[in-house]
Amino acid sequence: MSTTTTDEIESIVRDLPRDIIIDILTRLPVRSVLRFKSVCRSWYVILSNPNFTSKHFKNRTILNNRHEDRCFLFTRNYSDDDIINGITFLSNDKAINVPIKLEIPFLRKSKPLRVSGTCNGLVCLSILPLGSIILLWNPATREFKDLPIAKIPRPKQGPIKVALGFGFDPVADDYKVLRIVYYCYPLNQVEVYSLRSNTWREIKRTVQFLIFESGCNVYLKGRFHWSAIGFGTMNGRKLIVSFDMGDENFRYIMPPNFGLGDDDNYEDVVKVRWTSMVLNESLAVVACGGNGPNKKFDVWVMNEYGVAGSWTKYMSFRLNTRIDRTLGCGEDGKILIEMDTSKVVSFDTATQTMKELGDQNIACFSEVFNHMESLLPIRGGKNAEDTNLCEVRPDPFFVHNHPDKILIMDSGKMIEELDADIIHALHEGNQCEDILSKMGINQGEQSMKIVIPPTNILDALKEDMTGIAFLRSF
Amino acid sequence: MIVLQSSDKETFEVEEAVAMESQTIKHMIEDDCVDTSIPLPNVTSKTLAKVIVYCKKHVVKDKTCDHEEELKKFDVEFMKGLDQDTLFDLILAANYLNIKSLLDLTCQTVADMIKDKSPEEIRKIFNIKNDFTPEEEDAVRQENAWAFE
Repeated sequence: MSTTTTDEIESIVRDLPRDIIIDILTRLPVRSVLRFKSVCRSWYVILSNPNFTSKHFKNRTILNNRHEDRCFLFTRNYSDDDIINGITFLSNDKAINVPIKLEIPFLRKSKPLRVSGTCNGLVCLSILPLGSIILLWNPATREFKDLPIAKIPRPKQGPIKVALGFGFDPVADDYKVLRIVYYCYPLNQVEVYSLRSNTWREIKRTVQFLIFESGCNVYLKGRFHWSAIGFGTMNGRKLIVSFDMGDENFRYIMPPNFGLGDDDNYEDVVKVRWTSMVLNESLAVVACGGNGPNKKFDVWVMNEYGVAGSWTKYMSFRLNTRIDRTLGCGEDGKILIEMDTSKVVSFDTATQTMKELGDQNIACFSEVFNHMESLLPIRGGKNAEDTNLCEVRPDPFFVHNHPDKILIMDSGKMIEELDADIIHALHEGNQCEDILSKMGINQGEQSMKIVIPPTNILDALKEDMTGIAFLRSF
Repeated sequence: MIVLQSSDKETFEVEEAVAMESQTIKHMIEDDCVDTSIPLPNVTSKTLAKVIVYCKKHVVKDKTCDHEEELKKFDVEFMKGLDQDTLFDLILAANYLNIKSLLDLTCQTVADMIKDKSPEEIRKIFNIKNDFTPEEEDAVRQENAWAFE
């Protein structure tokens, strides 16, 4: 039946009653529905109707053929010409670029939008770096909703980092956005936005961990999962932190002992890069140790969710070319990996084969999410064409006001991405730091940019490199 | 045992449980409107025979993984062997007899046939006139241009 001609199909459907035809349409993949809107006026109306879309969503969820609606989703690199960038849907070998057609005036002057989460076809977008504007958007229906400013009392100091999570609470039948705001250690705030009530509320939670990512792409059993490093009582420990959408609590899962180095050796702990993902419906971790050609990847799977002893090493692999980062895992056990040349490959864990997917132009700040396309409407959602987009204003608290804050944060990000070792040096072995901090004390302006390193710094750098200690003077 | 009579007056004897896969027949039995046999004037014998084969397989309510797999395989084979006319008749029969799983299966099969078609092909298949102006059609296509890639 897969090679049926249009004539043959015609004889099947031509005399079917209208109800049955509509029933057939509710079983189509999302992209087919979008194409068929241009068939005729009445189909446009039928296919946009809320009754149709809710039946469509039910069918696609119950029947197990959603694979056509599933894809990887990530933020594309933006060029200066298209300030408001786009996202890419990547499935099998096909990459489709989807523009975000939201001409929000504020965005023209600021950093681009990036994907912070996706759930049931709705995508959560936020502005780098602190999410001063957060939007929920369905690329298929083009409906969007800008989140209101949180009426939560704030400390005097500015936020340093924000982590977001977007998901669905089936008990409350509500979409929620979680925001963790980090200030100078140990201050932080945790808040939750509810789409139903369209408000933010703060929740008092103990946060003793620093999350690396800005969004969350590991969603399992109704919980977000982030890779994190503990501080406070969990100081220095590798953690997987989960947040439950229903009871709104954080929980910890210890990742396995990677054995890629001595886990008690601080340097080895720092050198092992690891990311969590969902592999074949279980929580998994891919740990990468070693450098250059010795780089090895171990894939660990938690066979019983939450049971510490159930971590098993599923497999190991090495690839010939240099790997930058593991991005995520698809439904079929295929791991997406970014190579050093920004090319992307899909690695099949079952067959241990690799498939090149070319240069996908993934933005360096972008995580990769597992997206399921849908036609779901957004409660309180608007269409860009019918909305005054000047009304989409950022939350001023999250708009950085230090002129060089972005520069400083970008440097931090750059360091993360260099294949460099970050080593802790004592003050007595770090003359550069000594010289720079003295310069800082003596300067008049709040910040000073030095483009060419002064010669005294270069000399000090040489000595630091060879490990010459010096006596600090004040 | 229940006796079902097709439109062309052929009779089929089936177990009550199998017949009750059809909600329509189930209500008839429960409402006691049944005499010696149940007449089904909307279903030919050819189609009814196929429906009975389907219901016999699906009447077993075994929730194990293996059985689910077996049913899936059966469904695929069942649909493969059908020509267009039988598929059409089967859809209408599943609708009339109110057998949800069969209707799901047949409608999904048709959906899979048309999902990759272009709007032009869809118009031909369903005999629909394009009542958009060229500008309107262009605007609609632009809304989700990426879906056409």
